[in-house]
Order: sequence, then C-alpha cells, then structure tokens
Amino acid sequence: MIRGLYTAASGMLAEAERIDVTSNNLANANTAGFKKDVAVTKDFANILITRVNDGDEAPAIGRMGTGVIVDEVATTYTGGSIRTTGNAFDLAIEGRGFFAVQTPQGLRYTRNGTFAKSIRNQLVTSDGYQVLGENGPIVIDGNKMSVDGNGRVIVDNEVVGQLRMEEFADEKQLSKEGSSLFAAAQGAQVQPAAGSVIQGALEMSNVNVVGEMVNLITNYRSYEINAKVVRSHDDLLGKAANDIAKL
Amino acid sequence: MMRSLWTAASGMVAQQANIDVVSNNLANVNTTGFKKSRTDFEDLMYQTMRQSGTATGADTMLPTGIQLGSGVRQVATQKIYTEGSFQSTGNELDMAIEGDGFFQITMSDGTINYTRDGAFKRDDQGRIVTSEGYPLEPAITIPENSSNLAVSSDGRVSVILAGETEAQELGQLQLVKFVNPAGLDSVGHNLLKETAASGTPVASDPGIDGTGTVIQKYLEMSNVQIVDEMVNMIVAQRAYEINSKAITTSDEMLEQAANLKR
Repeated sequence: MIRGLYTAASGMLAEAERIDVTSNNLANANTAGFKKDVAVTKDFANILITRVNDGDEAPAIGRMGTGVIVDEVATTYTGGSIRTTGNAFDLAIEGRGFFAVQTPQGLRYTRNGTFAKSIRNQLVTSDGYQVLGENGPIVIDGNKMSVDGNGRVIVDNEVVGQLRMEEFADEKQLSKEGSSLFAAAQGAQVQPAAGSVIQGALEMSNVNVVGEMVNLITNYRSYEINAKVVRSHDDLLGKAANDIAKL
Repeated sequence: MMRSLWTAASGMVAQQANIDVVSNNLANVNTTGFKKSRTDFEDLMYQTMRQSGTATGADTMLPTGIQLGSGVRQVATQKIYTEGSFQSTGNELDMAIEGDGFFQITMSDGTINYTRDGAFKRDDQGRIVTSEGYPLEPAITIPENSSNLAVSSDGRVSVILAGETEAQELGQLQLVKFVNPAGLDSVGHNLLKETAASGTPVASDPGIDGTGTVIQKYLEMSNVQIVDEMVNMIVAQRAYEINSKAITTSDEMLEQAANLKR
C-alpha cells in the first residue's frame, strides 16, 4: 500500500516536470528561431513481487510497475513559420541548418536570424556575437547588403563572403544554451547545410500553441488523477490504521 | 512546478513589453519621420537535470539529457529604418530624405542630434529650425523680403531677393550617415542621438556616399504599417493569454498537491 503511494507520487512529479517544459514552450511561442521541447517519460523497472525459488512449489510470480520518470527532454527541430519583416539584416533558413556564431564560450549555432550591423561593420546577433562566414566574421562595408539563397553575402554588387551554415547528421548532439544558442557536443558530425537563406524574413518559433494547450490540459488531468490515487491510498491506510481494530 | 510559474510569468512580462512597443508604433502612425520599433526575444537559460553524453556503462552513454528551460526575455527593441511613404505638402520648408541620411539639428546645449523629420519652420531671425525651434546644422538664414525658397536635391538652398530676378544661394545642407543606425538612441521629439553602437556620423553633401537626396515640399511619413502592428498586437495578446493559462494550470496543480494532506 505504501508502494502505491510512491508510485502515484512519481506520476505527480513527472507531470510537474512536464508542465515546466510546456510552460517554457508557451513562453517562447513568439521567440524567433525557438525549437520546442518534448518531455518523454518512461516507466521504472518492474520488480518481482514474489520470490522466485520459495520452497518446493513454484509460487505465483508477478511483476509490478513502480511508477514513472521523465527520461529525456527532446528538442523538436521542425521548421517554424517564416515571417517577412522587410529588414535586410533579418535572415531565415528554410530547411535544415544553423548559422554559426562566435561567442566568448566558443562556436555556437542558432536559427534566430535577427542580425544587425555592428559598429565594426560586422554582422552580429542581438547579443553582439559575430555571425561567422566561411572565412571568419562577415564584414559589411558598404551601403546595400543582400544575401542570396546559398548564403552568399553581396555588398554593393560585390560578393564579400559566404555565411557558414552547418547541419548535423544527428541533431540530438546539440544542446540548448539559452539566448537562442545551441552548443554542439564534442566530436559532433557537421556537414554543410542543405537549407537555403531567405533575406528580410525571420523563422518564428515552431511551438504549436494548440498542441501545447492540449498538453497543458493532459498534464493537469494526469496530475489530478495521480493526486486522487494518493488520496485513495491514504483513505485505505486510514482504514487500516483506525477501523480494522474496532469491534 | 514553481519553475513553470516563473517561466510562464516571464512570457507574460515579455509580451507586455511587446505590447508597449506596438502601442508606441501605433501612437506614432502619423508622426513625420518616425521609424517603427520591433521587440526581439530570446529564450532564457536552461537547467540541465541530466547531461547528455554521460556514461551509463562501459561503452554506452545517454544519447539525450534533460534540460528544462526557464522562459523568455526581451533582448532588443530594434528600430527598423525602412523608408516611410512620401507625402506632398506644397510647403517650401518641408524636406524629405530619399536614402539613408539624417538631418543634423543643434540642440540648446550645442550638441548635435539627428532626425528624419523634415517639417522645418522659420524662426524670428530667419533661421531654418525644427518645429521645436532647434536650428538646422549647418545653419541657414533666410533673408527678409525674399521669395521662392528652393532646395535642390543635392541640398543647395537658394532664394530670390526682393527686386532681383536671379536666385541667390544661401547655403548648403549636409546629411549624415551612420554605420549602424539601429544603434541610435531615440530621445523623443523625433530626435536621435549618436551612441557607441551607432558609430560616429559621417557628414556629406546630399547625394554623395549614399546619404540620400533631399526632396523639397515633401514629408516622409511614419513607416508604421497599421495592419502589421494590429497583427503583432493580436499575436502578443494571445501569447499573453496562453502564458496566463499556464500559470493558472500550475496554480491548480499546486492546489491539488496542497489538498493531498487532509
């Protein structure tokens, strides 16, 4: 009976973690380049409830689950909707790939293309990190910048660089760092990105609000059901403790 | 679950800021030379509960980990310097800039501010000034009893003095350009200030070095598109709403947890 309490409680804990993930997705429903997370749960290992070799007869052997745990939070890398902004420094990637960004912590990746021109004429992110080209930072020294679908940067009719865009054979090698940045695991396999660049547009978040609202409801109801189970167990324990001995 | 409360709250705060920016854009939909702003967001830091790549055996490791995000923040309000529409006014002191430049305005403390609002006036001394009386730099004084003020596209200002038939040149307008106009500081009154992020202004005669040309008797209107802003407003309101739903759900879950003990 005590075991049931812990099993139901594990369900409540898992749902609490799940709603953290849902809330973060909803909070970032308008964040450019944001990729939603999904919490994946798994059941704990089953346990044997009767000893295997107990006397001469083989006793009835059963297995019982002991609850649930959040096993992984997986990021879903589907594309977000593309929103045109008319700002020449806004870049979106249609299809697979990430922009390479130089941060003080090292090379990072992003799909948030809200870029700007810095005082040193470099193309930078909203946080001021350099957007990398194949040969170092992209320098825009001129009046008119355009970027073609292949990521070539053209300033005043002259090609000044090629955006460094990479994609990962396995996107699970990326981890989120906040500030729209992804860090690649050591030894992650990169290859040139297949996606194409759209200038004057931003990729919005891939959060599907309806889906997340449904998650919110199922989170809540599962939590509620698990809470009911805890209370039922408590009632049973109460009966055992107080009523059974009464004549 | 307490985390989700704060996460969702950060979403509400961010959308509130978004609405503030949208409201200001809408309020300035008819302001000459106004440039719209946009709010940019970023996700906040992630708490790693289980690191991917952790060894789980002799030669096995976790393919993915558990990372919980903690919401969203406003990272920038970016001014968008697309050109507004031009409106013909017929007023000879109205000027619009076609291109990237800015007019220079001398403030009362002697510093220079910048504007694209070309609705100029004449003050009691005949100087060309803004609607608030700050003179244009380089200063141009229009003599009394003159007529037919003309501003050429390269910025030469000329008039015909009383009793004469030939136009006489009064001065030359100059425009400035910035490496990164998005880094300029908006100080209100249609004025902008130079910052470390904008770079130093480069002055030149209109039409040279991409500073743009001057169009007399026209005003540049605001570049705010009402439809865009209304859509932004709807998106912000709904995002605010769903974040508040996440908060009430978390709250109800906490209530369930509290009611476990009787």
